[in-house]
Amino acid sequence: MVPHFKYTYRQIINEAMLLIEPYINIYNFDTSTIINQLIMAMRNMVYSLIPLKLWAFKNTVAIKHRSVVPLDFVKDIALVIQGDDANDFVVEARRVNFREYYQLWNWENCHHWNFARLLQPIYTFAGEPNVENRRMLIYIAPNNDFFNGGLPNFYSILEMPVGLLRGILEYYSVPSTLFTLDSELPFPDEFAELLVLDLCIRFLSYSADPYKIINLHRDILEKRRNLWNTFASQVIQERKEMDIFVEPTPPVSDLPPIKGEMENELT
Amino acid sequence: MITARQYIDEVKLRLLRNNVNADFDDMTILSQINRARRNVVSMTVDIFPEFFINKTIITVSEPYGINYEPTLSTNKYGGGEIIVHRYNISEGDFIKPLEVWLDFIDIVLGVRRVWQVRIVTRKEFHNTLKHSMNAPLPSSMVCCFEQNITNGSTSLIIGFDGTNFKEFIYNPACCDLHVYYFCLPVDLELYSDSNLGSIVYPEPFSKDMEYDIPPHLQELVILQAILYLLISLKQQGVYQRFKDEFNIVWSMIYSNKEIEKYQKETLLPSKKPIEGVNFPINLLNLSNEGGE
Repeated sequence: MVPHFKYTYRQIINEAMLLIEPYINIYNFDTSTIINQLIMAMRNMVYSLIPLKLWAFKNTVAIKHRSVVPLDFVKDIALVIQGDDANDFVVEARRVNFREYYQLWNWENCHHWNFARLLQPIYTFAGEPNVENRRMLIYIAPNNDFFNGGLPNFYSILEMPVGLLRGILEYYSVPSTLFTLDSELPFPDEFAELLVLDLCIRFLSYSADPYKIINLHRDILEKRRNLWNTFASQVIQERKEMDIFVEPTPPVSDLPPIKGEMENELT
Repeated sequence: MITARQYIDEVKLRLLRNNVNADFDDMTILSQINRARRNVVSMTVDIFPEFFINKTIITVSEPYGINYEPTLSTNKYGGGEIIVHRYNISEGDFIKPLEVWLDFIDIVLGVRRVWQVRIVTRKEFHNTLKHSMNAPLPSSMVCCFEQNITNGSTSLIIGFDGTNFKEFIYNPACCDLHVYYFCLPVDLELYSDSNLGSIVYPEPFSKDMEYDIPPHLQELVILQAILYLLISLKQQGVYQRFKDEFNIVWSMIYSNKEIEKYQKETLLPSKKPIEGVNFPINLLNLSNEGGE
């Protein structure tokens, strides 16, 4: 028995090459192109596979209020705000829409039942001109933006932090482009098959038999449909189980006795 | 993490693999890529709004200064006046407004404040100024946006409570409008290899980086640019193949966005509606997504 180790880039490329082997020759194949196509295939597939495996494709970055969001950012998962030292608090911020950000953050006009506090921080994303390019920034509140001292009572009520809040942003991201051929594939192994097929369809084009391409397309669609159907049935199953868990319903009537059992006398 | 050069390479490679030998030069491809980027932003600005926000700062002028709009300014019901200003928004990438804040240091207490401006539609703007129960309050201004068909310029029209504006808000040292808006991407440029290593500004291979389109939409940009390029050629089969691929990628993105809405109640069953299973099964019917 040979145990399964995680796929490497080299293995994925080899598998794809085995499939398209009859159609490649020295004029239409080179390794760097297929590596490039593999990167593009992964970048393209990440967003569509997130719902199938919510705990994969994750990356983390240390950020502060008004930090620039990294360029591989796809979607946020959570923001954990760190304290200043080991004894300080660690809390998770909640994501808000930019349209409600003002009402939760502003030191003067915010909601007094729902505003951002040190123990209930909020975050949102907005773009701003940054040096030469527009970049997407993260806004974390409470913060001292537009605040030059203000009225003393506001300061004490609103728990203004001393410095900028900083934390760890967890987010879904596309894979890095820096790797060696024997690096482990940063993709879940159950999607490797899909990745190989996608790579083939990118690589095969006019050079191949058109029927081969049609078959590959069909394979990809079928594979994706199977994945989605499995996912849907899993969701439905979980939902049914959790329904029972969340809302226990008393039996409406007694079960009839099975063979060999006394008839129960519950009223 | 992708540059203009990589976009062009990707487009060329795929055209070549489909035996399209038309003589497209780099600049033609780049202009179609930029067009494709604008199109992709227009398609996705409503489903990925956080990626396409920009901000501009407008300095507020004197109450009766050059931006004063006498034809729209009016008397307030019950006394007082409403001062209306009109500011031209010169940003060419402006699609639609998101938020407007007024940032100022008040001239009475010297405290810096940020007040949110209410955005109303152009049609209700006059009525809002006139209503006694809904007029601009001292601490909540009202604004609307309009775009002129004659010259295409966008302007921001804002109504202040007159007394408060003159006696409390307007401070020549600090009184700005922060306008957050949805934007179109800036165009990518391409710097030739001959500049490499020189001190020519901007530096090659660092200033032509893609900052605007998030990574999961870059595939759409490439496919859309290829479609634009193929329109001028008589390659119906190749065009159809890329069109199918575009449809597949787009339908995946769109259906996943729909599924995201249901995930909250899927993961947190206590927040679900009671009857039945509400998971959108019909979204999983992928048979109509183009393909073969």
